[in-house]
Amino acid sequence: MGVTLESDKKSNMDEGQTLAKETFSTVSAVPPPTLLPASPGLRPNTPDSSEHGAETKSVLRDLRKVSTQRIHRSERIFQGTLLVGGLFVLALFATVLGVSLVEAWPSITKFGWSFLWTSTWNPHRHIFGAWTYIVGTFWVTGIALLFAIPIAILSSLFLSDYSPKWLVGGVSTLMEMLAGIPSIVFGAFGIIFMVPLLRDHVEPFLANTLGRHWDFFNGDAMGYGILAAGLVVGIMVIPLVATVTRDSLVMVPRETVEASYALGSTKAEMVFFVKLPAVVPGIIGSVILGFGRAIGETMAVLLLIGNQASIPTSIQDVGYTISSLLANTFTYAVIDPLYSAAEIELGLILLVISLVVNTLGRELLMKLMGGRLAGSVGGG
Amino acid sequence: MEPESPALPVPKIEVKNFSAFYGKTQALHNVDFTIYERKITAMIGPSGCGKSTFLRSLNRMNDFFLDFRVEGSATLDGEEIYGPAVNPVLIRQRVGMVFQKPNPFQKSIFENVAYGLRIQGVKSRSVLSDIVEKSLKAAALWDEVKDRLNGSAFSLSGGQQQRLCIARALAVEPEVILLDEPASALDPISTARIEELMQDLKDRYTIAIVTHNMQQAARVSDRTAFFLDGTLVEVNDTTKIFTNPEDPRTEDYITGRFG
Amino acid sequence: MNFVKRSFGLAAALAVVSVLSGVGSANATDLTISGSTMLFPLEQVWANAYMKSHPGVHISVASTGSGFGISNAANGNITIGASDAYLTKDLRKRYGSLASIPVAFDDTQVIYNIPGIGKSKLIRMDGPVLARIFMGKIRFWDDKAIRAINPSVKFPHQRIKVIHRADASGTTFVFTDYLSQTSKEWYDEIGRDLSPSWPVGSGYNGSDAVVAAVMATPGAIGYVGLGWINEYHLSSMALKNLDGYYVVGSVKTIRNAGKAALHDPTFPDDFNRSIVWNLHGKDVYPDANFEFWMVSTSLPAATMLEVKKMIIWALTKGQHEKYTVKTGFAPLPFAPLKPRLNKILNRLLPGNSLKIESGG
Repeated sequence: MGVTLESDKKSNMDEGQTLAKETFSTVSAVPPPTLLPASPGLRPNTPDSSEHGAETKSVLRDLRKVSTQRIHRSERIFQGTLLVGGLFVLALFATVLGVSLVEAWPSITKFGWSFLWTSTWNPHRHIFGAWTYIVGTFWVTGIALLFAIPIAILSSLFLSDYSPKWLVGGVSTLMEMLAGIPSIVFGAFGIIFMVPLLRDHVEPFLANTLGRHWDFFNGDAMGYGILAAGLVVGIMVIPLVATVTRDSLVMVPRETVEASYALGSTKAEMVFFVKLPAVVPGIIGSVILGFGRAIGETMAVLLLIGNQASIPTSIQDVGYTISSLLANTFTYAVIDPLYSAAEIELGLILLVISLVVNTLGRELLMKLMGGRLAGSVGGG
Repeated sequence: MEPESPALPVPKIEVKNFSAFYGKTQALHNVDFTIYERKITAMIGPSGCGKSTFLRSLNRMNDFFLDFRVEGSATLDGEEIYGPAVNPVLIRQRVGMVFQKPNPFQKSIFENVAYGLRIQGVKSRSVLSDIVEKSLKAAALWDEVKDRLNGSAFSLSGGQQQRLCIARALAVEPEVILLDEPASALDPISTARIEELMQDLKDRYTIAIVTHNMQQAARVSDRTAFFLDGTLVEVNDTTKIFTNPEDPRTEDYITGRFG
Repeated sequence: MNFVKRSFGLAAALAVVSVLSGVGSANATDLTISGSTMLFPLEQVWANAYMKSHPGVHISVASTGSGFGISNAANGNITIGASDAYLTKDLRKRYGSLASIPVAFDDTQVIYNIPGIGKSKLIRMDGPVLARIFMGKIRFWDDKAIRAINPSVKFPHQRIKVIHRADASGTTFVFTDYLSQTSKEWYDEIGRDLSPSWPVGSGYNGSDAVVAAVMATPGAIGYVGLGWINEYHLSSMALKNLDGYYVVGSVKTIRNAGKAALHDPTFPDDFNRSIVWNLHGKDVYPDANFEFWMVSTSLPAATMLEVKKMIIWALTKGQHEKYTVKTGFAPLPFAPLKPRLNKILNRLLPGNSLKIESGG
């Protein structure tokens, strides 16, 4: 190949220039020696090349044939590489799942399904149940999402439709930076800012207002607890939801926006009735992402939740999540096979919850997006 | 199809010495032009001639371009459209618009038509149903969609979607309807239906249409305006424009010598 | 299975990877010490000093938790496992090859944050009352059980907020051991553990977090080791010992306890009783403990010789105050330790009794 190109370069130049350029750049990626035997074999197969003096044509044809082979070969190599990558991911997942299952097996066989709704966790007596930690995990995730979603949506609406232009870039960059901050930093922020704020102001206020009617808002005003953990995880989720929401807000077609204005809506009406419904799938998608972030968040939660294995009955209570329990005690649990099996089973539960929520979310998304996709296909 | 010219047409929109700018670029130069009540006025001209800018200026749809500004006067029933105390939202409620590409909302057929009413505060289901039915009938779409009003607007064909957009515009009972190349994205059959529809609507509405298609302008309009390079070259009865234009540039354009 | 277990340990404590790879080279002069977070600072200064005086020896130290230290010393992943807790009967059964060597004294002390009560005021506490507080059965500071042992202190009517460790911790083990041995209630319902099931309160990861939470929370009660008390100049409660004296933990009172334990002929030769609370004397703190190194008897002989040298160094020169007291421990007295230590070394290296000179 390389030889053909070299020898016929001059006659080739005019017509073959673009092709030559194209092939040249890719040829270098494939070792020339493997290609060389192909070209002499090919030449006799094009008898009319020398007879009609159509030198350039035949060269091109040769080139094309060689290219075909080359394309096939590089394609195979490429596909093979991709396959290795794909299989690796698959194998990784299978290994994690398989090893976890094997290691969790003593606990799975001993406690069965009751592991899920047993709320006792006593390594001393070899009684293990996940319920307290599952509840704690959902409390933190729930508070985080309840806090993050409205703020994220409001901020992204502001950025897409109301903010002065000079602010947009700055705030967007800040958002992205916020998303990149390690969770331990948020945990520390929680301890030095959120905990005192909750302890000295928010929690006494809640107890004195809503708490007068509902015990759910009463408590000891510790600062630490599910509220602190939930709010800080919420702060970590905001950039995630806000970024995706803003991206989908930008994607709302200008025509749709204009249609709303042309019908006499104010900006607020347009945003509320047209933009917001149009970005619902995007918001749901980002909430699923946020859920994944929140449910697995470990360090920030561990620093703030109060790590007490009890089921919260008030927003001011302390609690425990699956991930913070594992972080706190797993290195210790390895000295006892059943103890470590129970902790690994907790990890599996976390995995299953994430998978289920992700799948449900995707289904929902497909359903919501379905109409729009059908619309764009059925047009005309 | 023959444009009739009844005696004493009533001016609906009067534009005087009207110029429009996008930043430093002037898109319209000193346009003087009147749109009469219950007439169909067509605007033709090559791409970039300013006809769409002009149309969108009439219900202040260009306000969303931050550096857009106008000079001169444009009045709706004698009231300045760009007057300092005028709320553009109110202008747009009186001057509706249908766009080049069908642009229904991501909602049901019913909710698309009811949208303008809902934002104006109509809550009664029966009132909404009445108006939606009336509007869909006026847009000649009722028979095709009456059994699936709750279906997605996107399940309709392009032509149906465009008629839905017309129904949506009609539902808020505007006085003027601006059509910005409403049939350019549609097949001939759908186009014919839209043109028919315009004739039906003419009795009750003032219509202004921008079109690339000169045959269309000739078929549907009573008056035609020819724009070139941001200036209004000529405006006259459609028959006059297409048979005996006063300006040689108009003649060149309609005979296909340029554009 | 063992491989799988090991890989999990690895995943859980990536910090140890470098340590483990050190073992792979199987050089007798490469020692790896890992485990107790509490002992870690002392081990660091020891390792530095020892490597300086013993060229050619390389020691890597990691802080991974006592549980990790015990299990990985047993299966040979590390040379020395550090633990705050002694080998309980359960652990001895599981890890029969392990020998535990005491290397320093530590303790657990009770700290508090009671509004209106100054630092200089001495609060007294006994095991049963402390246990009931940590079980949530005594909920206010002005409870009559607390007032009864502190007649001169005026307590506010303030909720008690129990603060404990969330991670598996030797401090917790020592603390719950005191409660277990002084309160039947506690022994029956919760027991002693590095990570017990706490009935009430809130948990924090690490002693520093416990200190912070106690300082920040009015009404709080918590527990930390001697090193933290010294570092933050905290005041701690005087705990009741066997003879009825209320003693505050300090280097002196802990050493007293340790000496008493080592002179006690009933104290087990294998040191598998860390708490020295049940010892007589006026100035004997009742909640002190040994810090341990765990060594597997199945280490190769060459490595074992190096380990022995290191142990003897740690128990002699290493006990100097510039190492121990500075990092929050009380030094061990070598003389009463020697006879028991000989037996342990004999177990590790049969026929090899202690010669201090070889300690270097």
